[in-house]
Amino acid sequence: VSHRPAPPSLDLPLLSRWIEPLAKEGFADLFFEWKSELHLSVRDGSIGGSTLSLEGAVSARARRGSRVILTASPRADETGARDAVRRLAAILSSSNFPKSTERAAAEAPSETEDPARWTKKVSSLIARAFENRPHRVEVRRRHSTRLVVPAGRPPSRHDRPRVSLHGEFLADTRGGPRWRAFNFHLPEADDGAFEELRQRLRSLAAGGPGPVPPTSGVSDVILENGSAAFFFHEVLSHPLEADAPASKLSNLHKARLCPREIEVADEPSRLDLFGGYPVDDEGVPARRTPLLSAGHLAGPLRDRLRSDPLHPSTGNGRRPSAFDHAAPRGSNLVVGPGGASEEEMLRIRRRIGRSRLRSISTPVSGRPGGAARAARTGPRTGTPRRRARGGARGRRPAARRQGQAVPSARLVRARREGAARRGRSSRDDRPPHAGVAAVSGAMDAAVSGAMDAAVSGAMDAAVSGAKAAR
Amino acid sequence: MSFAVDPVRQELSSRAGERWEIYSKRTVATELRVAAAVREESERIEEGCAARWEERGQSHFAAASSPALLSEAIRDTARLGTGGSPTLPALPAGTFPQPDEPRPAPPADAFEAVAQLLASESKGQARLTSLAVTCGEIVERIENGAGFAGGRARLFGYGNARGVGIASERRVTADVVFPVGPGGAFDSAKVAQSLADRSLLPLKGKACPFQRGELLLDPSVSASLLAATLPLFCGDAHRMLLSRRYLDRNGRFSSESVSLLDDPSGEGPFDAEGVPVRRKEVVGEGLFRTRLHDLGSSGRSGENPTGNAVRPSFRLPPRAGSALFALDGKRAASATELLSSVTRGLYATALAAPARVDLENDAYRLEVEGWALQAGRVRSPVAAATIRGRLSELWRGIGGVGNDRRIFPLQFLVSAPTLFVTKATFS
Repeated sequence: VSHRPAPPSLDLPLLSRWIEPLAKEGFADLFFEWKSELHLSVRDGSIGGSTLSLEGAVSARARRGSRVILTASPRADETGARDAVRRLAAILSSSNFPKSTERAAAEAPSETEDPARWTKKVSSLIARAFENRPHRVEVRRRHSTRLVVPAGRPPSRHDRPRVSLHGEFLADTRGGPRWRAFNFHLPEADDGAFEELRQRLRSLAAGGPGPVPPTSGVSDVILENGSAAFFFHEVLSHPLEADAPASKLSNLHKARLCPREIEVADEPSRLDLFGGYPVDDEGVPARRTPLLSAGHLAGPLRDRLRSDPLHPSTGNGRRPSAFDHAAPRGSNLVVGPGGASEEEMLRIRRRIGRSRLRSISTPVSGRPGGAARAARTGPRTGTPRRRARGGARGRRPAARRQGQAVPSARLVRARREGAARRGRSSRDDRPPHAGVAAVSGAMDAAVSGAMDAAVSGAMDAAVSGAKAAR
Repeated sequence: MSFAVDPVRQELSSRAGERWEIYSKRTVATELRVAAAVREESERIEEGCAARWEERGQSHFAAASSPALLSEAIRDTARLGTGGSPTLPALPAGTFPQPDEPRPAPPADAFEAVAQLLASESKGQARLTSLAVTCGEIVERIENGAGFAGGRARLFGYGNARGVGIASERRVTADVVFPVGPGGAFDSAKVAQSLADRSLLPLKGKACPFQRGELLLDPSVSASLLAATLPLFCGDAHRMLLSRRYLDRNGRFSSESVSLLDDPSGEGPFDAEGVPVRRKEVVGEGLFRTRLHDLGSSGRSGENPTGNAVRPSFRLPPRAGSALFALDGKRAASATELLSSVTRGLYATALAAPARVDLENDAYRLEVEGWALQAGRVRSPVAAATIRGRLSELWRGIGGVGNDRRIFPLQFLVSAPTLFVTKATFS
């Protein structure tokens, strides 16, 4: 099932000849997508229902100045491509209409995988993980094949098999049995993602004391187990999309936002993570794009439309489907390792206990074990610059008065040691300007750009810190 | 329509006898999105088809973008052997005329007009960053093994305007979603006014000066609340919940000034399963009247089908819902009259976050922006306020309904007016 619908055999040089005349005053491309989705509803160890969908579509796109036109057809073959290109040519008033093709469509190789095998395996895996505990799980196995035929560039094609699970199970907690929700996504490797799925389910079922409501007011926060990726996804990745309207970060290029040990990058080429791809949906090879480099804000995420010779596409042109225009969007957000260990950060916590620290972290795609420490600020008064300088009276650091995190002597010492190891000056280890105070040495978390997370107040903290730094 | 479903029909007949259904959908849409430096035009033809059938005591569902792929999906789904336990409902018979092919008209570029209106409405403090208008036509066809074959067509259109309000260093981005008529026509003045309010209120406003008081809900806020309440009346999922938590001993759901209607007249003669449709009063003058069923939920609950099967996409099986859910008032008043009747309270003009409604626990939470009202007059702008309480009490506390009903393209079409609530708690 995962390899259906099988893409038909296509005459790629012919497709290039069709699309190239439409790229005269800009660019043009053809985008094919074939995708399948198997949806299983698992209830207490048995499959309660399943649905399967198979789809294909093609779109032709051309840019003329500031105008971008897209025509889409539901047939992902040469006939569909010809129809899309002809409609595009008509809108552009071009005389380059492709002729009809006489070539018979070649039969695509048929896959012989038994769909029932994967289904049985995944349902028994879930049943074993939750043992006798009641559970409701929705499993989605998606496979998409995308082909981009850009004018004047070689075509590129890639496959993205992925598995998503969301649901809930009756967990044993201190307060008695409670339904606990979960939601995670995995890239499917050759082994069908079973090993990672097994590990994820095992850690989930092992559980903990259960969620505790967060304390009200100002408190320190440790973002562990990949939660920092959620944080940076919202406060950094979205505002750095080149089409983000009124982004608060748009005028802060190269401004220092946080300590130098914080490195955040968009890494679509990490194919071991959920949001990975080798080539983006405009045919541009994927590459690492720094978002925070040594604590400084780096460049935006660009697609071909929002690029120029000085600022080329960063390989982030993404399309939800063949029916949509490409837009600059993030992929895997990777937060680099820092100088402090998780234990170090746990020791310097001041206002909340270990159990609560655990409860506020959200597991996401990526390797467990990493952590970043952030300070959530309460209501602030005065200007950011005044706060950062310590206020008019200058008795205590403004960050301390306002409830922002100020690192302990132990953490500053750890940072200095880390900086010394990396050959940097200890002058770089100033108190943080933004919300994030420390990053553990084990951080390597990633999250797909498709995930949703809300981090209230984080943007204001980051931006006010940046302005103070300037 | 280009679908040739003969092979699919044969495949299903051999597997399920008369216990099968084929649904197909073709959408032709044009879209124009204009932003500051980019003008994106789209012309889309989207097709899809789906099959439901019963085989070896299990019901199955498969979907695909072409009949050839649907045949493949049917074979793979049958190999899985993991169909749903509820059997396929008894499918209706009958024949309806087939609709014509869709002919979309491209929307006109209204960016400059809306941008100027917004600038004058906001006194230059807000600017339009993007305007997207989509319109088109949907043609759906259904046939089943019991002999039903029919089609229906409908026009659709919606738009999204995004603006940014700027005051010194602060910026607020706001979106307004609005319905669009044939050819992309819409009320640009109303869009600009809504966008100006949404962009500037968070900049100018402060906290709500009252902890509790009366509440006036703009039609856009009423519509979101109404949409979130609809699942209570659909299918059999919340059957017990409705009677246990929301209805009093007399079967009263809301104040007598409120009627809730399901109006599928714009959808065609039958629903997404081929059942004839009619206009229904779900709540009449405050009293609960009827539930909305598709074939599956009507079979499970032992009630008659009401023609309320909906399919938001061909990829999903049909479920109980409403094509157009409307709120009607017994003695509707103008919005100005409602406003002047407020002695102390809040006028919620827009939602700052999606409405949160917990039907199980009879709770709602609305994060809104608007105006503080006192003695029937505007007192001050409110940047953010949270209204929370029991949903059942909110519906029973409605003291007045406006005559300014507007249609909103949410997950489905919702028609709602201004609502006056006599008692609410703000924070």
